[in-house]
Amino acid sequence: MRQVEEQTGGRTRLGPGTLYSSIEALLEARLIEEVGSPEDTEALQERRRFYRLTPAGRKLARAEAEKMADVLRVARARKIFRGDYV
Amino acid sequence: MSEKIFACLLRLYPPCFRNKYAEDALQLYRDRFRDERGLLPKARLYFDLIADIVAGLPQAYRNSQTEIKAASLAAHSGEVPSFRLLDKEPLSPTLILLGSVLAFTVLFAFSFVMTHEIFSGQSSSFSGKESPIESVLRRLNQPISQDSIGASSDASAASAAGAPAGTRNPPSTSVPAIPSTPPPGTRSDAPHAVAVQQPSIVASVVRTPNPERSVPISGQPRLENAFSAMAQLFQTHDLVMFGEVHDSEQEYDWLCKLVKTPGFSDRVDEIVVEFGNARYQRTVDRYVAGEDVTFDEVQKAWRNMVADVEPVSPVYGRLYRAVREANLQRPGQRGIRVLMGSPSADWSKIKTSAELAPYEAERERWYAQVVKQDVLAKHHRALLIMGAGHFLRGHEQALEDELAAAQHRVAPPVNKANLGPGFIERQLRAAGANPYLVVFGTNMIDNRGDVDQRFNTWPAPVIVPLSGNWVGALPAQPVISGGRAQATSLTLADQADAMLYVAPCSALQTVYLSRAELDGTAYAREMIRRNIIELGHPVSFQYGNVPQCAQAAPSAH
Repeated sequence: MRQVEEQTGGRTRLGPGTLYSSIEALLEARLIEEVGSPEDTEALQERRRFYRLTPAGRKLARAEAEKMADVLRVARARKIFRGDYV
Repeated sequence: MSEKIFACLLRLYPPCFRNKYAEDALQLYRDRFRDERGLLPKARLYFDLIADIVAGLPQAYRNSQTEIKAASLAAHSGEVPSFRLLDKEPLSPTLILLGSVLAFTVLFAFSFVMTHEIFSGQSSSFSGKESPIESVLRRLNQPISQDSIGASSDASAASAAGAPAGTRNPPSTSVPAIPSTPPPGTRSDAPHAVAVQQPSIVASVVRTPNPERSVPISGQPRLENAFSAMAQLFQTHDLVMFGEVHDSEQEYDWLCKLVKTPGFSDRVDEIVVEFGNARYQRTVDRYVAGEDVTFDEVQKAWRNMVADVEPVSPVYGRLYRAVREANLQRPGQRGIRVLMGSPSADWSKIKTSAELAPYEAERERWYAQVVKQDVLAKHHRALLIMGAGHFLRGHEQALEDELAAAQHRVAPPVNKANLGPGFIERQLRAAGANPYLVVFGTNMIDNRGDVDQRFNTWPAPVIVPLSGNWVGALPAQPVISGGRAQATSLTLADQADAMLYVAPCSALQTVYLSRAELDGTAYAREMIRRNIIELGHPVSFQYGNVPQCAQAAPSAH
């Protein structure tokens, strides 16, 4: 949750419900999978869960990223963005 | 927000979500609660959690929907039957309860729809409604030859009723042959007073037993308050045809009260009457609108109607006056209009029967035309009042039966599939109307003075739908005429949709003008002149009140 908030500059703030619902949806779609915890005692103590992209998830993520990159390219070409994004 | 409250909120999530992520979610909450200190961060945390629940719940429930996995028993599941397993989400008691409630709701709704009445223009039930089951049964039992019957019987029907058969047959100047006993409520060419007062010629009409009558109908009638029922009829019908018995005091007392009933006067635009000469339409319009028109002036409308061979009963004037009073009671609102259903004849110019005959022949066609032009074309609702004989369905058959009885011969078997509406109803239906037929009725079931004791408990006045009950199975002619007409094979249900019952026969009175109102007057002299034109001789007048129904005649049998 913190990472998402940091990556989006605080614009997207996930709560527990949204986070785990999203994880569950990705699991059911087999875009991510749960993996065992690493040999890290701190992580075990915090009872963290670890997930990683499946090949299908990676492929979909790449496709989505490319689609967004295309949109971004067009937006830049048309000088829609200003400031840092130009 | 305490941890306990958040734990409670987590219970809103589906069980599978809670089982899997509740502890993690609580841990996340604790982490944030620990890290975000100060009033503002805490407030933002609470806001985030509430927003998270609102946004996350639908997603969580979508995720928790039972995933159906095919567990094929065979390799080729598409070709052979296979089991499918419900995975992840076993049927919880809540789901079972929810499913049960839903199933019962659907079952209840289905039962309600199948038994609840729906509108049907062809219905013979009281309110013009029938359930889908009734509709299907009616269609299965419906004769298939109605149209062909209508076409072929137009001429005979119109002829029997003294009216032309539509545009194909020009008005005839010849007076049609009418059986010796006029139908109840029909102003025939024979003297009405004489016809009513004399018992019908009694002769047994022998018929082949009718299969339809082999099973007695014992269903109980639905009795409805006559005032509210009549008003309700106009919710589903643009026209209500009321087949009156002429000159009945109790019948017209009821009509006078009816026109002042708010539910009726609010819905009905016109009353179309047989007892009104169209020459006086404007005078009547002014009178019922409450304008300064004398009663002597307006009563010309009913006293000069065509085909009345006796001094007109005062009950008709009472109805005009009641409409005027009803309209005056509702200032600023649309008033009820009384439309003249009798041809525009000028009696002062009629000297011979030949001059009168065209008007006589036009009576039903004129009436229907008035309804079409002044009611249906304006999308209005109207109460149509006319002698029952003009409205009764299958009345040609009843006339034929009576004629056979009068001639002491066996009447041919009745094919009830051939019974159709009368000339006026056919005309109105062809014009797109959806009429409902109510006839005046009594508790007298034969012409020997017998009454049906079951009427005694009725909370008169009532309107009784005739379909599927013992009332509808009663012989139509004696009940309608108060025992003055002989029973034929036709039942009330054959001839009408519903019956108005206002009082037992013992209380019903026919009202004529008194001697003081009539004898020696110009009106009496004019009536004698008209008798001679129509019949060739004067007719004895009736005076005052006389019993409406036939008296018991023990010697008859």
